[in-house]
Amino acid sequence: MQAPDIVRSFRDTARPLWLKLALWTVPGLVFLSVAGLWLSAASLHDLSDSAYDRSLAGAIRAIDLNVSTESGGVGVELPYPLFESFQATASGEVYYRIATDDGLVQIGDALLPAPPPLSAGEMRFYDANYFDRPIRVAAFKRPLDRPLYGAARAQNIVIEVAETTGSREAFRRDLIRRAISRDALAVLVAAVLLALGVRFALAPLAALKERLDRREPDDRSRLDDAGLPREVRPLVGAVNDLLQRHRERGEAQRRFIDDASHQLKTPIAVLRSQVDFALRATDAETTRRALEAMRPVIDRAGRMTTQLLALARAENALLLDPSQEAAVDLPGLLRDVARLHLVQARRGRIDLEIEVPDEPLMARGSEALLFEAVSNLLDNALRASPLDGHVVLRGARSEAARWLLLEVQDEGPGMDDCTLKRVGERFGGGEAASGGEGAERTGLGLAIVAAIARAHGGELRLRNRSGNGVVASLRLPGPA
Amino acid sequence: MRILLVEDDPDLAVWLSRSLVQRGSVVEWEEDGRLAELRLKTDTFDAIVLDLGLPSLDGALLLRRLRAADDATPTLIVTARDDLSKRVELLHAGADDFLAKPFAVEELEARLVALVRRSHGRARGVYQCGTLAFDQNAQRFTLDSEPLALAPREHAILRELIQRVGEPLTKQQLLDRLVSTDSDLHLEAVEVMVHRLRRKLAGASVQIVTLRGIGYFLEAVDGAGA
Repeated sequence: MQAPDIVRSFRDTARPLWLKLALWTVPGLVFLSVAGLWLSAASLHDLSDSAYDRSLAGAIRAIDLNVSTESGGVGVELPYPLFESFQATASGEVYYRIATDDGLVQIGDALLPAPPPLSAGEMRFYDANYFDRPIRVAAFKRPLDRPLYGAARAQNIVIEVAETTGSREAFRRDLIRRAISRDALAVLVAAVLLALGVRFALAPLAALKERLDRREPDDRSRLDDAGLPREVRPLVGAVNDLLQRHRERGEAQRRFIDDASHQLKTPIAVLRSQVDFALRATDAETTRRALEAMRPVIDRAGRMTTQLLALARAENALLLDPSQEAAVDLPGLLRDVARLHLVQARRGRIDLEIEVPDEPLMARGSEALLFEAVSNLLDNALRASPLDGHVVLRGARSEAARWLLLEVQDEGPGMDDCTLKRVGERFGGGEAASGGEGAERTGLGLAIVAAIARAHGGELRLRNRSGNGVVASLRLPGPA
Repeated sequence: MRILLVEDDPDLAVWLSRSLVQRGSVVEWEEDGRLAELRLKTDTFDAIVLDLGLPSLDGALLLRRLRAADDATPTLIVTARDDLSKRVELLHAGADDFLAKPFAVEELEARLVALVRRSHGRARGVYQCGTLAFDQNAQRFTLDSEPLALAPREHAILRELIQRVGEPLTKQQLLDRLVSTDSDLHLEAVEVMVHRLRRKLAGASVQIVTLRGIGYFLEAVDGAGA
């Protein structure tokens, strides 16, 4: 159920940075310019109207100047030159009508739509239709100087001039088209600048990649973060920390291999010289003694190999195979370990005891590794324990319940402080002191336990008991 | 002793065979798990020495198949894989004993002898620990060849213990095994009866050992006979 989400988020994160930035910014820019256009379209409309309306007003004034009432009626001498030039600039039809408000006089295009009610001296501009063509009309009304044809009071004269709107529409469309192309160009330029900026800003990263590509596989020196953007420095820092950990791990591995090869080659060299000696021996007794001397060397080499492999496995097991991790029943584990060592314990007439609380004690980890660790501790304790001694296997929860404790307690001679401190180091020799039979020990058992403890996020602690003997305590993180 | 050695490393097989033959055993060698299985269908051995990492049929699987086919030939596992927790699993799967490579031939031989003796006794229905013996057919205990008089519950407990020498049983496990015959028993009663049994075995070469948190088991005092 989770998988498709992860795939999608991978796809998202795999997009180039410039595209990601553009996807965030360009829609915003487009939205802003569209809104701007929409707002300015209204004012453009007003602007073009007022420009064009001025020429309509000019035509009305020209006609008005030529209206005469000398004859007692209304006479107009149309300013034809003006009309012609007007018609030319408007690139459309021009209509006019001069009328009195009592409707008795009508000069010009009588079919122009009637003007809205006007007050005297008012000039008004409005849109209308004339024979289904949109027109813009200017209407002007003023009182005449004197009444016509003997009327009681002076009439008002209404002058209307109209033009078809094709020209001004074209002008408007042109304005908007230019605004759109200007905005589009701005957005495009912004996107290009964005891409260029990202590319420019990321150029140090490409250089970093080049440097990483050219690196020798075993080069574990720190990466230089000079010249890198501040946002990227933590990343480089993290890579450097990782390199540092690899360096330490590599160093540890190298030491391990050095130690191991020394520990494994030495007995083989000893055996080789023993075989050579035995082959050159002339009497059977000497041969026999040489062969007998070989046996403990072989035993030691065998144990050493076993332990070194166990150590290598312990140090890598949880790293290599996290699936080993499960809930482990610690009392059950202690019982299994005890049963496996019962014969060994009884051979030394040692009383093996298990102390566990009544409530369940569960840890998280690898059962096989924990088994190995407790086995190693018990093996040490049994070797250290005197005849008829007691060895106690204890499972407990620390007071604050933060740790789960697996303890093995013996009644052996104990360890000196120096050895206690070095416990857990490879070939630290801790066991030689606790085990007594130094020749049989490999010095790896406690290192294995310590490695297993570390792999579980815990630790191994050893302390001398006040009476005698040692308590080895494997501390594991308690349930979260 | 007639032993089947199932081991895929020829060097180890040859030298191991020679050592065992030197000590008076008859050794047959199979280097393949499947062939060993076929062989065991027609032939009988006193014991099997079984390597775990085998071609064609893994040792652990071979062991399971043998036990599933009611073949109770005592089997000693030898392996280079010293995964200790695996050992417990194999013992549950029917392995009788376990040795990690490399091992001393003396140790191998001693364990084989113990295995064979135990299995021969079992085949006759006789269980032994030190000088204490239990004849299953007669349902009778003898101590130093003298009949041992036991109350029925004591008899039942000692029978459970002698049939599993070296394998500890907790108080509860003992009680669970008795409960079918005796339903009004309590944990304290087990203690009382073990106490009585100890008195009857006092001074003998066999004792009932109690280990705290582990349980009761029967043990030969001089360390022999287990």
